[in-house]
Amino acid sequence: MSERSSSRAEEVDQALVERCRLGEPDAFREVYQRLAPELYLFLRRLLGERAAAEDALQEAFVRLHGARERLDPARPLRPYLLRIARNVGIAALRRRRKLVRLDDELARRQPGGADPTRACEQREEQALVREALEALDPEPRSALLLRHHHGLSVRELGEALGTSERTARTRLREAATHFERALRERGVLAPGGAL
Amino acid sequence: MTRPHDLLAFSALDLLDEEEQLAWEAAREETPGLALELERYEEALEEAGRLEPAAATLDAALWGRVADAISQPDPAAPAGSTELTLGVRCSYCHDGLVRSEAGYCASCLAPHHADCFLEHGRCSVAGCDESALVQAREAAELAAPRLDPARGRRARRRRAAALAALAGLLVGAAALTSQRGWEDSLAARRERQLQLAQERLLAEREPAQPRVEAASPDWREPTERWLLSGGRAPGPVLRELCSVWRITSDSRLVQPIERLRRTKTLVIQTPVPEETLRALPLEDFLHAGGGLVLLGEAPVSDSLTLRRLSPVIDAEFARPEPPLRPRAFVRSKGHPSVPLLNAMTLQAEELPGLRGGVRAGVVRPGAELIASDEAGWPLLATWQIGRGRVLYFGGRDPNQAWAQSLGRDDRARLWADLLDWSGGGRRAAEPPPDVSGHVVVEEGIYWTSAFGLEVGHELELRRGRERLGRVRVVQLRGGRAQVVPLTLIGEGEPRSGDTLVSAGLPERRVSLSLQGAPLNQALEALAREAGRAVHLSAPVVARIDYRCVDLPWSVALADLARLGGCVVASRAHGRVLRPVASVELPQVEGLSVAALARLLGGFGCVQVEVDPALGPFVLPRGEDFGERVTWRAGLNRLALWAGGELERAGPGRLALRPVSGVEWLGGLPFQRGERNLIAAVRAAQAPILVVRWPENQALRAKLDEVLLDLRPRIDSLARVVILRAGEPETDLCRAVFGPRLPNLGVGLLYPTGQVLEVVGWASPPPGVGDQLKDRLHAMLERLDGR
Repeated sequence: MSERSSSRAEEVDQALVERCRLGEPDAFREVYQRLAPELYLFLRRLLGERAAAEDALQEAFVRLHGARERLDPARPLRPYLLRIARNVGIAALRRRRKLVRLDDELARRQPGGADPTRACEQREEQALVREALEALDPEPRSALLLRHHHGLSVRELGEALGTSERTARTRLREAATHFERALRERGVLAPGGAL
Repeated sequence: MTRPHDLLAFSALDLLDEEEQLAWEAAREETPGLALELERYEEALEEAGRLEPAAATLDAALWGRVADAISQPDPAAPAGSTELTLGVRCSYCHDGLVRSEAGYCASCLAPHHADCFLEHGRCSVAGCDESALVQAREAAELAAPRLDPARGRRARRRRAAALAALAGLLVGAAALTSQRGWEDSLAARRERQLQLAQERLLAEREPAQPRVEAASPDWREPTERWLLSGGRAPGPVLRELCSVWRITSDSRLVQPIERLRRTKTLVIQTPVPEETLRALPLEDFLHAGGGLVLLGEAPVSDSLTLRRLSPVIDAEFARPEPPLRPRAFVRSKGHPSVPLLNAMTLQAEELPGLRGGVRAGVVRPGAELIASDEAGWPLLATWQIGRGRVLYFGGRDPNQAWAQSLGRDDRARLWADLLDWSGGGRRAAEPPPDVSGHVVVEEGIYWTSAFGLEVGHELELRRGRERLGRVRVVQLRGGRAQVVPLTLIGEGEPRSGDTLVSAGLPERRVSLSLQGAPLNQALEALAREAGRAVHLSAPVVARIDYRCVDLPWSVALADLARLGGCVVASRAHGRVLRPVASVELPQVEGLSVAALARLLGGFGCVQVEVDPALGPFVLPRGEDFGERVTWRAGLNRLALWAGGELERAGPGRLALRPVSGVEWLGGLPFQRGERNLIAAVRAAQAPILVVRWPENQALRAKLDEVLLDLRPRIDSLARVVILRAGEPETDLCRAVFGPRLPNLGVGLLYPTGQVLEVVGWASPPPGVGDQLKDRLHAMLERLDGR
C-alpha cells in the first residue's frame, strides 16, 4: 500500500470513527462492510470452523459497538478492530479448549477422489503444516497470521497485539522461530536444516 | 548470536534488520540449499492460512445477526442509566463471571471460572504460580436472595449484599472478607503445601515411577468393590473380574508384563500419565486377547497411546452443558458385549443416569457404536485389536453416575457383562504354562514362584517319579507377583522342593436357571462360558426351561441340546461346537463360508454375513484345506474364491461383500509399525501392495526401515509385493490393469504423521479375465524373483 493511499485510508477511517461516535446509523454498517471480510478471514484461519469464526466476528463487532463512544479517531481503525478480533478469537480458542474437529477437512477425507495418490500427497503436507501451526500457542499463531496473511506492518501489529512496536517485533520473531521448529519436527523442512 | 536458521524464518516475514540482512545474504551464497528451504518455509506459511474460496466467503446474512445483536439493549446497563457498571471477567477466558460462581486466585485474587483455573492448572496471571483457588462463600450467601418476610432485615441484607458485591467486584477480595474465609483459605493452602512437600519428599526418596495395582477383592472404592464382588453375578463372572486391573495416576509399575499376562481386563478411568501407558505393552496385551476398558477420565485424547487404541477418537468433555436428564439410546441391539441390554432398553430406552453428560467424540472407522446419547455422541463403543477388545464408555464420572443405579441387578449385571465381555478374548481357557517350579511350604501354606499362572490352573505335584496329587492356583497376590498361593486338591502332604508339573485346566462348571430361554442364545452363552464357539444351523430354534447347579459345562450343553431337539455334531473342529437339528444332520456335508468362518475362527467365533448379491457359497468338502493355514488367511482365501472380500462388521463379525472399486480402510497406527503393517496387509489382503514413497524425508526413512525389516514376514502372510511409486512395475500395473479394472491390485500405503493409512486396495474381483490374470501372475512372478 502506498503512503498516499495509506494516509487516504486513515482519513476515511477517522471520518468513519467520528460518525460512529456521533451514533450515525449507517456508519457502523459501513465499518462492517469495509472490515468484516478481512476479520472473517483472519478468524477463519485462527479458529478453523466457519460457525466459530462467524460467532467470533459477531462478538467482535458487538464489542466494537459497545466501545464506539470511546474510539479515538486519531488511531487507525483496522489494527484496533483486528486486536478485538484477535482477543475474541483467542478467548474462543481457550473456551473451546481442545476442540473436537470434524471439519471440512475431515469431511473431505472420503473415498471416491479422482486421484487418491495426489489427494493423499496434498493432504499429508497440508495436515503436517496445519498441525505445525496448531502446535503454536494462540498468541504467536495469531501474530503469524496477521503478519503474513493480513500484511500488518510491525507497527500495526503492535496495535493489534496491544504492545509496543518493539515487543510486537520480538513476539513475531519468536513465533516465526517456533513455527519453523515445528515444521522441522514434522519433516516439512529438513530436520537438520540446509546448513 | 542469531543462527542462520532463525534468519530464514525472519527473512520470510521480512523481519531482518540491516546487519542480519547482510548475514543472511552471505549465508545464502554459502549454502545454496537455503533458498530452497526459504521457499518451502514460505509455502508452509502460505499453506497454514490457506482457505478455499468457499470457506473464505463471508455469509451476507451475518450482518443481520450483528445488527440484531447490537440493537439489543445491554442487560448490564439499565435503560437511561448513566451509572458506571462493573463486571468481573475471568482472567483466563475473559468471559463474564457470575459472581457467586467466581473463584479467586489465593495469591493475587484474580477472578477465574473454576473450570478455567483447573484447565490452566494454576493462576493465569503472568508471574503468579498459585495453584489454589478460593471462593467467596460468605459474600455469595449474602448475595443470594432469601425468603425472609421481615422487611427491615431484608433491606439490611440487601444493603449488605450490595456492599459485599461491590467490594467483591472491585477487588475480588470479598472471598476473604471474613476472618473465617481467610482462615479457611489459609488452612487449605497450608494443607496443599504440606501435601506438596510430602509428595516432593516421596519423589526424592523413590524414583518417580508409575505403579500398577493389581485388583483384589478389597478394593477401596465402594463402587468398584461392589462391581468386583460381581454384584449378584454368578461365579464365573466373579473369577474373571478378580483379575481386573485398575491403573491410577499415582500408580507405580511393578513387573507390568507379567501382570498383564495374567490380566483379563485392564480398566483405565483416570488421567494416567503417558509414560505409564507407554511402559505397558498394551498392544501385545490386546493382540493376545486382553480386554481394555476406557472410561471416566481415561485420557483417550491426550494420550498418544490411548488414541491409537480407543474406538472413539477426539473424545472430550467439551460440550457446553450436559442435558438435565440425559438419555442413552442403544444403536446396536443384541451386541454380545451386553446380553441384557435388549431387555433393559425394551423397558426404557435409558441407560443409567449420566449426570456429567457424555464426551463428544467420533467413532473410529471399524469400531462399533453400541449406544449413544440423544445428541448422537458415543456412549458405548467397541472395537477389536487382534484378539483383544477395547470398550469405550463415554459417560462423565461413571463412578458416581453408575453408583446411583448399581442397586439394581440389571445395572450391575450390565456392567459385569461389559467387563466380562471385554476380557473375553482371553477366555480361551489357555492351559497353564509349562512350569518347572517347586512348591514352597511355609507355616502350612503352599506357594510357588511361577509366572503365567491364572486362578484355576491346576498343577501336578511330584516327588521324584512319584505322583503326589494336585494343587490349584487359588489367588494371584498383588504385592509379590511371583508368589502364587496354592491349595491342595485331594490327599497328600507336599514338602518344600516337590516338583510342580502343568496339569491343564479343570472343566468349567456352570449353574444355569433358564425359563423360556431361546435355545440358540442359551447354547451360545454356554459355549462362550466354556471358551468354545458354537455354530448353529438355522433350524435350531426352541425355547427351553432348564435348571442345573454346578455341572460340568459339557454335560449342561448336552442336556440343553437334547431338550432342544438337536445334537452336537460328532465332527468336532477344535473348539467349535456344531449343534444341528437332528433332522438335518445328514445334510450337513458341505461347509459354507459362514461355517468355515466359525470353524477357522476357533474360539474367536467369527460370524460372517454373506451379501445376498453373492449368493450362497459352499466349499465342497473335497476342497477342504490340505495345508495348515492361519484361520484368517484361510478365511480370506475362501472369500477370494467366493468372489468377494471380507470386511469387518464389528467385533468378531465379518461381512463378505462383492469387490467393487477402491475401498478405504482408514488409518492404522504407525507407531509400532511392524504389527500394524502386518495388520494392514492382513486386512487388505491385497495381492499387490504399492507403497508410495512420501516426499517427507523423515517419514520416508521410517517407512523404508519398517518395510525393509518386514518384507519377508509380510510376504509370508499374504501374496504381497511391495512396489514403490514411480517404479516401472507400478506404472505397468496401473497401465495394464488400471483402466480396465480400476485399482485392481493396487494398494497405497502411506504414512501421515503417526498414521499408516491404506487408502486403496483391491483383490481380484470375480470375472477377471484369464488373460489379465495370466499377465498379473507373470508380473508377480517376475517381481517375486527380483
